[in-house]
Amino acid sequence: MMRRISRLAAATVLTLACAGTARAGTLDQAAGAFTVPDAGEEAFAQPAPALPKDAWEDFREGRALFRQVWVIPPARDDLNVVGLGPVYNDTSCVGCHVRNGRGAAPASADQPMHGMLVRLSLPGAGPHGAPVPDPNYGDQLNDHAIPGVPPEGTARIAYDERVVAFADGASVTLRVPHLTIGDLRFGALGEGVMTSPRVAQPVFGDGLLEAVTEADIVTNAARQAVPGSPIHGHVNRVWNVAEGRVTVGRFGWKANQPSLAQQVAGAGNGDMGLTSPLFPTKNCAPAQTACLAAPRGPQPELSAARLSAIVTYLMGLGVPARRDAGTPAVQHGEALFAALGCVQCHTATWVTGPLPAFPAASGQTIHPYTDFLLHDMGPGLADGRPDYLAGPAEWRTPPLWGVGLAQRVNPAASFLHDGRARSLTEAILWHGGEAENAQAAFTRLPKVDRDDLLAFLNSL
Amino acid sequence: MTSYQAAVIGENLDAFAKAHPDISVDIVWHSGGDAHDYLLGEGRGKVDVYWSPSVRNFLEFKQRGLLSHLDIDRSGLPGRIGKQNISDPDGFFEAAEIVGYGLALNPGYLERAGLAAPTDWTDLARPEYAGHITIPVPSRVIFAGVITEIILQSHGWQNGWSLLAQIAANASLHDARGEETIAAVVKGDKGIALTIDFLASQAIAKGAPLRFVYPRANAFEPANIAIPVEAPERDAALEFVRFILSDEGQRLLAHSDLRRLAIRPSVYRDLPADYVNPWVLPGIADHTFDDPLLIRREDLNKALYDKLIYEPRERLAPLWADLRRIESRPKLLAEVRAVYDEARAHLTAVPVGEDEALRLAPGFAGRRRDGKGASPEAVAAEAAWAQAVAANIDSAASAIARAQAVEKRI
Repeated sequence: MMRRISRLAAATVLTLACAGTARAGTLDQAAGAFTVPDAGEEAFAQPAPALPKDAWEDFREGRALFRQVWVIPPARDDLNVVGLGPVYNDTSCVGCHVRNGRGAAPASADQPMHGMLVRLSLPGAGPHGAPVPDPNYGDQLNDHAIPGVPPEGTARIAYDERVVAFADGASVTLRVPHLTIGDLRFGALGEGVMTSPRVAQPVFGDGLLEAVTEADIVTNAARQAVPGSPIHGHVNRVWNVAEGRVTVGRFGWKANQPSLAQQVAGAGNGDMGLTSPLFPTKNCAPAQTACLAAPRGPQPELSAARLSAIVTYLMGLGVPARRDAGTPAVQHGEALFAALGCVQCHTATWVTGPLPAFPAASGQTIHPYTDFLLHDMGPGLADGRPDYLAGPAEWRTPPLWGVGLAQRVNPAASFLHDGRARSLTEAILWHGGEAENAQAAFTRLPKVDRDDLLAFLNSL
Repeated sequence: MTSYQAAVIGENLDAFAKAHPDISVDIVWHSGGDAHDYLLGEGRGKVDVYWSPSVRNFLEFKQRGLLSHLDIDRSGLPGRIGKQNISDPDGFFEAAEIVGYGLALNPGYLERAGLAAPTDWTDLARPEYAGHITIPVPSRVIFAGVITEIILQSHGWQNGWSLLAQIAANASLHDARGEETIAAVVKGDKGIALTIDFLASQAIAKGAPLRFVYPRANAFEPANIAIPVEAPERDAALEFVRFILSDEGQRLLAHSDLRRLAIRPSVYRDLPADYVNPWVLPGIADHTFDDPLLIRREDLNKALYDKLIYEPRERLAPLWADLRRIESRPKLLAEVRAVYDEARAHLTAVPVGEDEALRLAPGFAGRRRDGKGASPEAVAAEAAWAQAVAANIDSAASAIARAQAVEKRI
């Protein structure tokens, strides 16, 4: 009986909510001509049907590079992949982006980080508003190094537990993470250092996200800026290395990267120590003499052509089609998603604009469930570390497409910026700040409705 | 130090980290040639464990005294499969896994084409399989060199090359990335792919409509693990080796991203019922494969395959098509048969004998896919082979034209 009543209630709010959303037509096709009918463990690694024939060779090359374990110099057989380190977090892209999906937080303090890293910065702002790196450790802690070079230190995460109760009496235990940095090889961290653990994000669909126009993102932000509204996302504006100017940030947990190429080159430099045309300098701080003196491969290690191939690979990846979108539970869950206000930030539908670097991504109706904007997510999720215009409690709305397959692709995958949430329920319960009302409404839902909402998320 | 890709080592590293949180593992990645140079040069005294599918390196490192004796409990580790050694009999390196070779089949494709599933390498030379096979080119796809050597060791030098030429005549030659060798059978564009077993097994584990067949003549090539004499963290290295060789480490090989064959026969009872247990394959007691011979002539074989099969493929294709048409006739006149046999002999002739090839082989060591890196004598030999093959093709074309003329006259 309860189930029938709650469905009727949802049907009423559905009518109201849809009027305010931008979505159109069926949502089964998650990403227009980039939708792939794959729900298996390789669902995030499939070429899009729209991948042009003339992009296949670059796609293949990029795929090989994305999966490649990078090599330390000297080398003669693998000159194209020389340049790992000297300090790094992982040896390959897929080492963190497991099967192109998200990474995972360690389960306990005795486990090393794998698929995540710790960002570092000092108070204040650098050029163009960028974070100020730690003088001895740079802007992220590299916990691995090539032989003969000391790693910078280690990072461990321990957890407390916090119980959140639902109105119906059920409860969920959340993990409250506590970061510890130790074994520092180059002295203490700088005065007032700010830290932020981050898990790797999924990488499919990024070409489509890049093809959403800056004007559309900004217009949507203006639309949210209604006086009195609890939802008031704003864009990040970050330094675009290739263009030599500040542009809208759209990738990364705090939207601190303006383009996919810069995201890839930045991760290559920060996570693996690779130089590239965008980041031609090794990530060795001045105090790290062994790092600075270590042998180098041919420069830049990630050449323009190989960087371009990786970008083509990522842009050419398909987005998994939705599953079970027509079932009553999923449709009811979708209605609840709208009624609770989740769609105000997790914007369902966008139409991509022109993308000269990858024209196939243009003109697609996509359903990523993100608004690209920064939102205050409350003190529970705050890392206390600003990044350009992103405040200490602000995070970019992460895309939700494929989220239902996250743990199919990587069974260890966890959610939120530091992977503290082991399930989507935990992730929702961590929402605060601008999302506090939606979170509170979720806790008031009866179990059948919570299950339907999760069924909807798992259909994405 | 390893040449395994991230997806392969990830499961092992995660499991090892859970079992030994006090030991941190840093990976130095080098493929065979660079790993060789590194351990002999820059990397001396920096590598704790060498773990890689490169029998060639392990044999040389052992010979040079670079490896320490592995102090492990070898109960449950046979060290050989059939008569093929997979570990060092003297205990300096141990097999950590093995891989086999064979035929990835798309049963749906074969059924639609009205073809029986082949079970042996020789089946692939039959005319009915023409156009239904894809095979990797040894100079482009590393593991294809082992398939070539399996056929040479099981059929002999002359007959082996003849069989390879006939199989290639039925096939598309795959010269792109090794991991894509089975793409055509997964998609259903071809019915049969010659490949290394784990590529097919991984695809099957992830739902591809394939079946994999191990021909009786095979090689079970090991990835080995060893500890260098100068390992700086010997105790931790030993823990790592013991973990990789343990039941837990070996069971990880069944992960859908790996699908290698465990070297502990005991773990197969814990694996899915359809997981291949190489120790119980038919005829395995008599299985043999000469790894040193593979190592000795692998680079020469790649060059010879290029000259005999890969480079002249566009000239060969129409001639083999003509031959197939002729041989499909229900009856051949003796006169036509003789000319046909002559043409076939030209197309399958090997331009170098086995003894001469073994003499030349050292000069091919280090030959790259562009043909560079070989000794002057090897370069000259390659040029001579190309000339001989071109002449043979001319002769075959002439013979086929004569056979066709005879047929027309009749």
